[in-house]
Amino acid sequence: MDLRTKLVFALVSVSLASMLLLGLLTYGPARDIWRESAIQGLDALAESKQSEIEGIVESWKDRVRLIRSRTQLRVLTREFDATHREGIRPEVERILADARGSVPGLVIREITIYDNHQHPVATTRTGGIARAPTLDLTEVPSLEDGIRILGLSSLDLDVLEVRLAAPMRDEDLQVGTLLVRMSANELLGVASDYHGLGNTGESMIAALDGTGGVKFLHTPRHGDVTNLDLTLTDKNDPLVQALSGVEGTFDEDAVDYRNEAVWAATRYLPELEIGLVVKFDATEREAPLRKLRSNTFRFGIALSALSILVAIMIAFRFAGPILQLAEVVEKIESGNYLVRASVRTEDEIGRLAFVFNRMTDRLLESNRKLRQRIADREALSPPPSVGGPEIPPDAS
Amino acid sequence: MPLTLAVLQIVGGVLYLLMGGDLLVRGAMALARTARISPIVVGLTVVALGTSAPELVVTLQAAIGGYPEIAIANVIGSNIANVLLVMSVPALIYPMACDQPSARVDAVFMLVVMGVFYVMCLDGVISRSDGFLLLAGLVLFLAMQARTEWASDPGPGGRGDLPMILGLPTKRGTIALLILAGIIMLPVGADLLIDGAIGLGESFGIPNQVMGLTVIAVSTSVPELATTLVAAWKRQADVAVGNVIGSNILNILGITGAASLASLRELEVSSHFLTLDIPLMFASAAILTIVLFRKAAIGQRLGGAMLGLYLMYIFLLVSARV
Repeated sequence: MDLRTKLVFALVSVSLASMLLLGLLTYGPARDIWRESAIQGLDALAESKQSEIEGIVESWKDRVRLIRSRTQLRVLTREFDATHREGIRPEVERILADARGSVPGLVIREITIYDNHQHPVATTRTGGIARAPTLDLTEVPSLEDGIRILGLSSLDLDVLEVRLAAPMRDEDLQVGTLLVRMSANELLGVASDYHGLGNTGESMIAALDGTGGVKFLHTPRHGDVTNLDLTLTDKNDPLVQALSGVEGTFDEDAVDYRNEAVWAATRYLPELEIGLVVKFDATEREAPLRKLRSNTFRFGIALSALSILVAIMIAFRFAGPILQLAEVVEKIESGNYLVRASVRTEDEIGRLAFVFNRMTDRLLESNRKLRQRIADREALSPPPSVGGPEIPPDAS
Repeated sequence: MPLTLAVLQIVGGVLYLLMGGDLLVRGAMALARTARISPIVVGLTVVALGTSAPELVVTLQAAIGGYPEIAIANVIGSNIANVLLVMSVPALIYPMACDQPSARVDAVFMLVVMGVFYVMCLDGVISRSDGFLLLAGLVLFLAMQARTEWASDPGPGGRGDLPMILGLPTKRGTIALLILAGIIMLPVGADLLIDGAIGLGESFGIPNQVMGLTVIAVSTSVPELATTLVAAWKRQADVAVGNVIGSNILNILGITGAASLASLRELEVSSHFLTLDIPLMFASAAILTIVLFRKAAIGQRLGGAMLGLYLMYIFLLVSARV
């Protein structure tokens, strides 16, 4: 193998190895920092959405408080509790209808008031108290001002309702219970807000369906999941983790309802008994990392190619004097003793040329002396024929 | 993709392609010498492959990798560059003349091949059956070449073993290393070049087709340019002209043929190719053929005109398709 090829192999190998090492040393920490930062961002987003949902819940409670704060309602309910006079019912129903209509957009679907024996006093429901829902007293809060969410129900995908119960008091005396059924579709706005979640990320809310299965409360970003068969045993799904009360971040082995690897942050909202997941596809999130790795790799390979140029230049620099020396040797081999290596470098090759030139000089000198001696002898007696290279008369 | 990385990839890709082609040819020549294969056969196959290896690997990689527009563009662009650039630049140094009858025969064959290629492109695709036909044409061309070589005067030692040349290894391990390195370096270089060209095109909003016709085509023609420049320097225009004609024929018959067979789908031919690029390829080849038949030389004036035509073509391409 010639010097040029050897140098190319050596330099390309060394540069590739250095680039590879450098790439490994820088890529690992860069990947960890990127991943950590992305996960932290995800967790912050989950926290923000949780706060948003809590704010929505508080607004629902405020509406209930507003209804309950009507003095006439409390007085009439107390009177009914004491007298059970039928004539009070229409009065209460009128107040409830007014309260319901005071919130635009039919957000409040139904208001019912119960006495302390769980019997309905009045309701806005069509059909009147005969069709009023039953109330379990154990569900009613015992705290003085407690308002409890009795349940979040999904009538259909993207149609949510919430039921809230609140004790009604008049001068520290519990006079009945207020049950309000209202739209909870504001939660969908939180779930379907994909800002900061890229092209594949989504936030999801789900609840348990009562049979160990997981019920989505809205249409996810990636299509219909009405036939989804997700149960609490699917531990790799962050949604299941959220519904199990596990709050945190997941980036290893986490897969979503599509079996896609995801990075996710989970929250559990016990009051609503729903799980919240904010996630994005690992492939999308890792895309910049892959691009970084690919670019680093390509940059390294492309840079290493420059060592081919360097190798060829060095080879020409090294091999040039050697080839020149070889040409001189070939000329001397063919009998031309006058040629000399003109290498003037101060390196090993220069030294070799210098020694070679000196050796040729001495060879020429000894040859000249030999010829002189032969000539001297010939002068004394007739010479025998002698072979050897022709020495020009002016050679010295 | 950052512009710096794209440019670096193109430069690195060209260097890898050049070195890979060189190593592969030297390895193959050394192997042929060890196996006592005739120098004529080696000259027709291995050495011909040497200057066309970059085009071959880049075109195959583009066709397989889902960039058929680059594959065809590279072949057409290389053939245009081979005549208008590779022949014109050395002509500025020394007049390029060739008086060999075989070159005139090859030039006519080149025009025929280009005509057949144009007809094949008319339906908008290069199909697999087209590919088979092109490869059959390559076999015919090689057979013609072999016949010419055998008929010619071999000269002293001309049909013996390949001579010992500096850089040609003799040990089996080294031969294998050279071939292996060539096989690795060529696709690496092709990948870098394609990716760099696409990245560069994206940076300036230039379509892949135009990048294939220009940057990639010129990059893969660098071996031909180097060979021709050296030939001009040594006043051996015959070698340079033969090299260009051989490369053009091989590009269409061998490389397009192989790419159409290797590609998962038919190679699509853009209508732009039919209206501008292929006619220009044909016209440039015709100029070369006329020069050969008139036994004239490509001097500084004609060389300058050809180079000007090439630059105008590049300008037209970029301005019309961006």
